[in-house]
Amino acid sequence: MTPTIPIRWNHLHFKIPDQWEVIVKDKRHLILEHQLKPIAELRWQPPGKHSRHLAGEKIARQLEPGGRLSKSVDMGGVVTDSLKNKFSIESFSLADSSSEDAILLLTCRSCATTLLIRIYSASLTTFRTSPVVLESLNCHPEPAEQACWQIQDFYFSLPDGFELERSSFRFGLTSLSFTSATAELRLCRLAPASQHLQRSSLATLFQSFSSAPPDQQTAAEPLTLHYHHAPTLAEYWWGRVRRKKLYQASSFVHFPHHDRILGYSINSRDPIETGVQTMLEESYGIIQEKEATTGSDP
Amino acid sequence: MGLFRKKKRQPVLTRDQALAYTPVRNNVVNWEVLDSGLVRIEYVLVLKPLLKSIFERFGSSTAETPTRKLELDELGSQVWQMIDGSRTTAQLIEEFARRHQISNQEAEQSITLFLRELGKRGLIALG
Repeated sequence: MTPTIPIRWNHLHFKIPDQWEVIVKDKRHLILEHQLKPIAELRWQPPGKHSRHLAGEKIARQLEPGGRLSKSVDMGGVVTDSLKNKFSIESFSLADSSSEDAILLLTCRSCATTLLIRIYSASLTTFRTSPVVLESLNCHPEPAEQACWQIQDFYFSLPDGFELERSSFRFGLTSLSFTSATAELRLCRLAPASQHLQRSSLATLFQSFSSAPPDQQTAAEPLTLHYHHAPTLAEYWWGRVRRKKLYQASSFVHFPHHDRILGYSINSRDPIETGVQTMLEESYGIIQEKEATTGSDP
Repeated sequence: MGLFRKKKRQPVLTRDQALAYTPVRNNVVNWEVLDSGLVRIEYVLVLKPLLKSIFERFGSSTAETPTRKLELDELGSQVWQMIDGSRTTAQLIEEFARRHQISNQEAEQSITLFLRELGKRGLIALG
């Protein structure tokens, strides 16, 4: 059996073979690649007012500007019974296109989320022989799992009320930004940590990430730095007037065995609940090699 | 009305094409590995015809063409030494990602940007 890695991104959970990679193109647009060759694209939309066909057409237009879906009977042999149990499935091909890519429009039977999967023609055989991606696809995970995110080699749990705002996957620096009604949460992953630490200390890196002055940083453990800031009464009212998020809690953790640094910083207009901080601190980490190869949960 | 004619756009490479090409160093370029392990490249500055004529008018002979020295950082030096004409861009990316234990996506972004910069200066070509 092929070793797999679980991917959890913006409410969509699935598994991929460990040799594959997920490229995040947008909040709800992922590309699966193997050795820098795209295998499939996934786009999804939460249940909306549009009919299923319209939603699919809308996504298809984004997939290929000017592209129109035409119904196709051939499912490319990639649809399994377990997938049919979870989703109602329609198969399409792109009209006015010479490509023979398989396009599946899935509608979740439970939550009515629309998923559009484009499988590139060269990869259809791969999907037929290893149906792990489609079989593990899930857009409404268990309540306990809903907050879990896992991408690249790190995972975390997202507190309630936060939505993904933007993401960036630059060399050595992954940053994710989430917003809620009153707060902003930023997460970062530095890799390889050793190279960053050759140039700057952990405290300096933490300062550049969270604006935490070095003298106000606290080290709970040798490789963990924290920073908390609560405004004075005057600052608080001035901040309210200027709609600034003055409450801040940040943390930076170095994982020397994995050569990674993970950090989070939450800025809020209101005092930050201890539960949110605890959740973030306890739930984020680097995926162990063993877990990645067996596909078990962190 | 050649003056107002639109310039023809250079054909843009697709990602697949760019990954399949093999970058090769420009033979005319001199480079050395410093004691620190970093690479220093010395290359002749390619002047636009107007600038060239100004250089010539104000005494600089063509023999003394201006040169530039470029010192690469650690990562740039690694990539430069990997560009030996035997690896395609995709292979460079995969090897770089493996060396630094990062994802191909991260490596691709930095390497393509780096190669583009080298290409602009005429230090490499795609073969």
